[in-house]
Amino acid sequence: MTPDSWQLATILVGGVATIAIYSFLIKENSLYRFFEHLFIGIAAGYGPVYAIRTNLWPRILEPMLGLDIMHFPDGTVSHSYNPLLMLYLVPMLFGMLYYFIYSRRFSWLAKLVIGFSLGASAGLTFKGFFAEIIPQIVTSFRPLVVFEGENLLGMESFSNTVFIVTLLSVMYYFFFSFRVSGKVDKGISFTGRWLMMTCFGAYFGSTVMARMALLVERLEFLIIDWWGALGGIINSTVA
Amino acid sequence: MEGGYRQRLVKFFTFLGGVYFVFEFLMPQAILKSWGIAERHEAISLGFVAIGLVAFGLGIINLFMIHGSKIVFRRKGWLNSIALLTGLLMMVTFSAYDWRLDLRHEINSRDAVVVAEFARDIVMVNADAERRASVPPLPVRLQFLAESAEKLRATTAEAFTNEAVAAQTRANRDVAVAVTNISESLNVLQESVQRLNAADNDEARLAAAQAISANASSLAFLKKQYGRAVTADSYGKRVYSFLFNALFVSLGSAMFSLLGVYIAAAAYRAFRIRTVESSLMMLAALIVMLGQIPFGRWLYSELPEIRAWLLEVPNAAATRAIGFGALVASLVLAFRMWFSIESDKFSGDK
Amino acid sequence: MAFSFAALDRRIVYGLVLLCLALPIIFEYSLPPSRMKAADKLYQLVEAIPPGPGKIALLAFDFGPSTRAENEVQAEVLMEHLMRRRVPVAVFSLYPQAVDFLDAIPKRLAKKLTSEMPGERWEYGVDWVNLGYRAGTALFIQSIPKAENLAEVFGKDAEGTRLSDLPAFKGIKDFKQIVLVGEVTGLAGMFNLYVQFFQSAEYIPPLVHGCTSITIPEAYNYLDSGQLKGLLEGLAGAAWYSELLEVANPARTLDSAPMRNTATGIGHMIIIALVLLGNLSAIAVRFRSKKA
Repeated sequence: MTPDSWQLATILVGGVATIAIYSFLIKENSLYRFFEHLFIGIAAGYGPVYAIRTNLWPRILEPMLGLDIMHFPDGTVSHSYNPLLMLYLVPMLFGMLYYFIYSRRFSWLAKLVIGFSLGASAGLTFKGFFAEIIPQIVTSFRPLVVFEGENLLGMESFSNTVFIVTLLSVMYYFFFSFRVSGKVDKGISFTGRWLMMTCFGAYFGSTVMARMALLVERLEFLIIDWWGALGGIINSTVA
Repeated sequence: MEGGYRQRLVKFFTFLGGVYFVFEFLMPQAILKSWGIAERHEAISLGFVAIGLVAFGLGIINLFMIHGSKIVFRRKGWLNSIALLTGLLMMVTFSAYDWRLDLRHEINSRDAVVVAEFARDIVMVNADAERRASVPPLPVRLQFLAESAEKLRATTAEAFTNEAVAAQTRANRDVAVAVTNISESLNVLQESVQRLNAADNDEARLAAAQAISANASSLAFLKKQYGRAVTADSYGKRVYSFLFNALFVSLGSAMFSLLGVYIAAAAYRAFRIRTVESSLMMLAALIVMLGQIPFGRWLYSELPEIRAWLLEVPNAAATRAIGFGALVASLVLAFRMWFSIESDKFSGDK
Repeated sequence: MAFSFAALDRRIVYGLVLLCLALPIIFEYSLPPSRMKAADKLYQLVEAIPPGPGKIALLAFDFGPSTRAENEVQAEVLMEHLMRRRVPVAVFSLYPQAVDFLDAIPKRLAKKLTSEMPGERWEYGVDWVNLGYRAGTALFIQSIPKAENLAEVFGKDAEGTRLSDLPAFKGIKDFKQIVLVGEVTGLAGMFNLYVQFFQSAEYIPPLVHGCTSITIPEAYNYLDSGQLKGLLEGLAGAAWYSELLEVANPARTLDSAPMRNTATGIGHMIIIALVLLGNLSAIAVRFRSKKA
């Protein structure tokens, strides 16, 4: 097969695969199921080799085995072997405990490494929490009345007021620690709910764009690439 | 009690997992530096990554167990399971093949990398009095460099002047570009070697060594580029690219794009404007939708501005308020996870 | 029996949606996109980066086929701008499914720019470097800011070449030499990793984001707090950025973002119409049942 025919095959099969998935819109069918399974298989097979290829091998195994040491023509070496690298065997062997998950008797050993990983991600959460939240708290303190020199900036003042009211009322809405009973309490809570709905409206509007974009990309492929390739084949066959 | 012992061990390891990052976060940078932890932080982090990396086979084993048994016992959908495992095996095989090709290119360019590193090492060691004592004298090293660089030039020139390369050059434009670049690079390398041989003082010799390092380094890169150009049309590469583009990308994109039509069905079946809340939601959705599309401006030219204000002010504030709650909750959850407070089921014996 | 819109076969609606979306593609019709202020901000930020060596922009393409419809065009326009400005770019991903995009997008752009400006060259190793897939997500990201030598942390590129041998990384050591970090993703939680961990006590590189439309409202929170310095809002953001590049470079070959954006706009109109029809139909049904 020439490179061009590979490309043609890629487009044609890609189109068939897309149509097979879209056939689900009419009804559930075996063609859809077949391609769905094929996709899961390919997706699952994609990651493992790259995990080894770009991470485990060059970053850990190669230095640990000393394969990155270069021997120079004058008998010297690029760098001496660092025996501390052998310490990487500890996390690697520890990580191997994951595989005990398949053993009924020793599955608790897998829990050690799963627990360790959960602990590590919890530890990282402490670190990440402050970096994320502090700038947001700081920038939430803003003047309700904004001046530039002696001029009152009406729009800025209005926006800041809306911002503060929204922030506080939505936060208030989520205070579940005590009962909301008074008229003022309920009023703030309602305001929070309404403003939150405005926010959810924005989420809905944005979601529409995301979903439509996905659909348009596939249609563009089907109409321009796939149909174009198919038309080319039909034309050359007829000619 | 055996169960209790295991449970305590799991809790201990969960706590242990978090200790380093909490410690590293709380301790001042100056202390971490003085204890040598700051400079080893990357290596320690890599150790944590290594734990997860060796688990790469879990997903594959799971799929083989579930779908393999379906195939063996001819359970419902076994043909689909064959498709799944075939896809998986093909992808693993061809991505491994792709890696093999890259390793081959790396080996083929190793001679140039060694010369580049050797030249760089000579320059760097010469500037470091302590290390200078442990290597041969500078003139000896430079002599070795001149010889090895010349040998690299000669062997590469010879390897790239045979009929096989000429045929590839005629057939493939990328190969032709790589071969031309290599030939130019060899000329530059030759000039640098001549400069090294002709230099009459150490400063000039070291400058020539530095030039050789750069030349050999770029030659190594070009040799790899040549290798990649030669194998770009190989059967394995083509199959890999076919699996990726025809199946993986097409199926993945199509699968998720189905949501586009579902949202349309949901729009006329489920989105009912009955309350103040739903009216507000619809109004905001309308402004956002119309403000971000080309047609919006036809209705009202300020719509993009209004949309931006809606997102910047009430939306950002409401999202932030919700985010504060979520972030505080994640911190509390992290605490509880770290101290295994609510994970008795997990750390338990079963 | 009276007709109820809600009882309409959903497949008719599916067909209608697909047909309407296909029209601008069939007729290759595109309209100028809406102005996106957040994308303007990003454009100005890239314009302000002085070209030349001694600095690097990091672009993380953390997306796979599921969100490539929006993320791929975003990655393309942002990287194109950086390449035009001759700011060396290092692309990498924390998501294995992005591996082929890391390879294909820069090559495609280099080809496009070379054909637009025949006298100039955009080369691998000089103008861009592919760092490949990096495992460890948060663990990897938080290890970068403390690095004393960036080339050593990243080690080798995706094809096994040592970064210190590549011109783009020559003289790049310090975290402060990262002039821009671009995170293009549709994955939940991925963007937050950069907000949380990609900073040192002394320096926070300007973070910009190409997000799928679903996460636009969330991203605005970070834009307001200053944690984000620029944003490409889904396909509309990419289309506007493409327009900005178009205006600045009249010889530029048009990409598909404006056409896709127009088709997406039709999709929006259909959704609005369907919501209105659904509600009108519900009102009509209620009115009829009250009457009966």
